Amino acid sequence: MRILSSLFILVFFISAFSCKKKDKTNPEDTVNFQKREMLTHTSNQIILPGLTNLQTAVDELNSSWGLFKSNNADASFLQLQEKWEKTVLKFHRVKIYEFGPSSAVGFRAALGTFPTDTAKIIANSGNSNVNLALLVNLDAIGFPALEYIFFRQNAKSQLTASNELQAYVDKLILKIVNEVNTVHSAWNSSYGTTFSASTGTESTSGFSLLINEYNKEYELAKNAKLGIPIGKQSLGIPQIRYVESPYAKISLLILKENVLALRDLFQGKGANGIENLGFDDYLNALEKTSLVSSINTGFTDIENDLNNLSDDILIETQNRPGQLDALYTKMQNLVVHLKTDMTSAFGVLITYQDNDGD
Amino acid sequence: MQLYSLSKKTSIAPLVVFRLLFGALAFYGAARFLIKGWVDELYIQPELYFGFYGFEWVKPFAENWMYLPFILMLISSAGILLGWFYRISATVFFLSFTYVELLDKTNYLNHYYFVSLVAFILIWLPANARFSLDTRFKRTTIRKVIPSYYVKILQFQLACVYVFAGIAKLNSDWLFQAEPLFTWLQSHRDMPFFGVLFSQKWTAFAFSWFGCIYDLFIVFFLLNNRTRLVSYFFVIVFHLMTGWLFPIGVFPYVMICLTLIFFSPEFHERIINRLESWFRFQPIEVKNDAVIRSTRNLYFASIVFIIIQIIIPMRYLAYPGNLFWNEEGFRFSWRVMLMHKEGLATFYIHDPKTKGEIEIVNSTYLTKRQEEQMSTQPDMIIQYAHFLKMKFQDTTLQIGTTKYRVLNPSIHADVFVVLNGRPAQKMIDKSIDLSEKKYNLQHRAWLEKYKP
Repeated sequence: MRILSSLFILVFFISAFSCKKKDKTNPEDTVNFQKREMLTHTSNQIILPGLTNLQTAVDELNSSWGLFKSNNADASFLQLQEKWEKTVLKFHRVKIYEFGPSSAVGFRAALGTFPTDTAKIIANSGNSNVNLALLVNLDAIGFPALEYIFFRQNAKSQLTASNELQAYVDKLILKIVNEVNTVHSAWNSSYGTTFSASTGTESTSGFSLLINEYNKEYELAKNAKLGIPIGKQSLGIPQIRYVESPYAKISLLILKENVLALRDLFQGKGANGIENLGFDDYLNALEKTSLVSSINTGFTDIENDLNNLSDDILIETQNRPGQLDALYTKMQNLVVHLKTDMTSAFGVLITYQDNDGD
Repeated sequence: MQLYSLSKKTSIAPLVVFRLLFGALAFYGAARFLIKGWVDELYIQPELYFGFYGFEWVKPFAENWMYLPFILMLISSAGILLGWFYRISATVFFLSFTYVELLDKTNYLNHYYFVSLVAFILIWLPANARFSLDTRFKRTTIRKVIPSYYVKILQFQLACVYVFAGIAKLNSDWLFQAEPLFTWLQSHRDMPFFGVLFSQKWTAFAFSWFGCIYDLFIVFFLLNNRTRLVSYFFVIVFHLMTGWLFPIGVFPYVMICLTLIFFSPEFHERIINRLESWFRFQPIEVKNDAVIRSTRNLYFASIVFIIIQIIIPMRYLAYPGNLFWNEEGFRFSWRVMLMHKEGLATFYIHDPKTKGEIEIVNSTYLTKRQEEQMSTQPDMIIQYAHFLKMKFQDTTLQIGTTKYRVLNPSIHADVFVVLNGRPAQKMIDKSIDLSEKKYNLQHRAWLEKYKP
C-alpha cells in the first residue's frame, strides 16, 4: 500500500510537470495577455475620454440653451438642436458602462428612457415643485424629454411662449449636468483604478461587469432601438409609438453610434481612434481567431446596412421594411457570437450564486 | 455466502462525529442562504419555477412563508448538532431541505442532492446515542457500539460522490482538451504569481488529470490505514484549491469535514472522549449492545438504497446521443464541474391566424440565473415553452390602436449552445413547435445532433 500512495503522489507531480512538453504549439500571447492591461486601456482610453467628451457636449448644450433663452434667435435655436444631437450621440458612446458610479446614479435610465411621456412633460412643467428624481418621472426627463421640447412641431414658438417650459428645461439640463459630472469625476478619481484592477471572475469584478453590461447593451440596442419599433415583439406590426427619436428623427443614427461604440470596445479602439487591447486581443490570446473575424464581419455588415439606411426609422419602416428586417437578423446573429461564444471563452460568471458548474 | 456480516460491530464514535459536523455545516449553510438574501431572490421573486419531472406538484409557499422551511432547517440542523430530539430533527431537516431543492431545478447542485441523501440516511441511524442532549436528558439509551454497516453506508455515500465524479471525468474533453478547466483556469490569468500558470494549457492538463485520478482513487486510499493520512492531506489540498478557484461556496468544507468518516474508530473515540470531558458528560458504562431485531430491515433497506445509488448515475446509458449535449440522465449522477455550457435561446410565439410572430424577451419572465440555466438544458426549454404557451393561449394583444386575439399559438425557439469552448451550435431548430413536445423522460430525438 505504501507503493500505492507514493504512486499517487508521483502521478500528481508527473501530471503537474510532464505535460509541459505537450503543448508548445501555442505562442506566448496565450500567456502574456493580461486582463488588467486591457481594462486599464478601456478605462483610460475609452471610458474616461468618452465621459469627458460627453461632459464637454453637455456643457455646450447648456450654454447654447443659455444663449437661446437670452436672444430667442432662430440661429441659436438651430444651434441648440445641433448640440442636443451631438450630446445624445456622445451619451451613446458611454451608455454601455452601467456599473460603478453610472449604476449608482442610474445613468442609462435617467438620460435615455424612451418613449418619453409628452403629457407628463407638460404636466410636470406646470408644477414648480416636481421631483425629477422620482422613478415615475423617468419617462419625462433626459435626452428624450429634451428632444420632444426642442423638436416637436412649433417647438421654438411654444418654448419661447412658456416660462414654465423654460424652467423645466433648466431643471432637465441641470440634472443631466450634475449626473454627468458625478459619473465623470468618480471615474476620474478612484473608480477607474478600482475597475482596472478588478480582473477576477466573480460577477462583481470589473471585468465581469463589463462583459455583462456589454451583452445587455447590445441586446438593448437590438430590441429597443430596432426590434420593438419594427414589430418583432408584436406579430410583425410596427410599433411607431416605441420609436426612440420620433421628433428629431435620428433613431437609426443613434443605433449606429451605439453599435459603433460596442464595436470599438470590442476592438479596443480608443476615443482617439487608436486601437489597442480589446476583447478581440483576449480572444486571440485564447486562440479564437476565427471567432474574432466572425464578430468583426458581423459588426461591419451591420454598419454597412445602417449606412445604407436613412437616419429615420419611421420612414424606413414604410419604405424599406425588408432591409430593416435583414438588419435585425444580422444583429440577432451577432448576439450568438457575443453572448455564447465570447462570453463562454472568457469564463466570466453571469450570476453570483454558488454553482458547481452543472 | 454472506457478503457482509450483520453482526459486525464498531464504535459509535465515527457516527457521532459525523452527526456533529453535518449538523454544524447544515446550520451554517442555511444561515448563509438566509443572510445572502437568496430566499427572496430564488424562491419568492421568480414568476415561474422549473420543477423536477414527477415533482412538479412541489410548489413554493406564498411570499414570505418561503422563509419557513429555512427557519425549520436552522432549528432542525441545530437539533442534529446537539442531538436534541434527534430523529425528529433529522426528519424535519431532510424534508425541509429536500422540499426547497425540489422547487426549481435552476438551483440544482450535485452537492445539494448529496446533503439530501445524507440527511435521509441520518434519519435511520442512532447518531444521538452518545454525546447528545437526548442521552443527557435520558431520552435515548447510551450506546457505545453499533452495527458497523451504519458507518459503512455513510462511507458508501461519500465514495459514490468521488468515484462517479471520477468516472464522469473519463471523457475526451476532460482528458485530452483539458476543458472546461482550461477556460475556467485561464480566467484567473491576472492573479498575482499564480496567474502565469493558469493561463497555460499544461496547467489545465495537470489539473484535469490530477482531478480525475484523485476522484477515482481517493476513497481507496482513505480506506487504507497506512495511506489515510497522506490521502487526507490531498483531500484538504484538493478541496481548498477548488474552493479558492471556483465559486462553490460551502461544499469544499463539507467534503473536507465529512471525509473524516473514513478515519479509524480510535481516532473518533479520542475526539468524542475529549468532547465528553470538556462538556462534563459522565463516562459511559459499557452495556450489552445486542443488535436489535429491527436493524435487519434497515440492513436490507440499505442494500436496496445502495443498488439504487449505483443505478441512478448509470441511467444515462439508456439514452442514445451525446450526454453533455442532450443532458438525458445528467443530474443526480455526481457530474461535478464537468462541462461549461453557454446558450442563447430566443423564443417566438407564432400566431397561425396572422402568421405574425412575437419575439420573447426572456428576462420578462425569468431571473438571470433561470435564463442562463434554461438556455442550455432541453428539459427546461420545454418547460419554459409550455409556460409561454399558457401565457399566450387565447390572449388579446393591444398593438397600437388595434386589438389582436391570439387563439392557439405555437411556440418556437432558436437555440444555440457553446459546449466546452467549441463554436456555438444549433440545438433546437425554429421550425419545431415546442408546445407540442411532451415533457417526459424519453429521448428527445428532435434536438439537433451534436457535432464534436
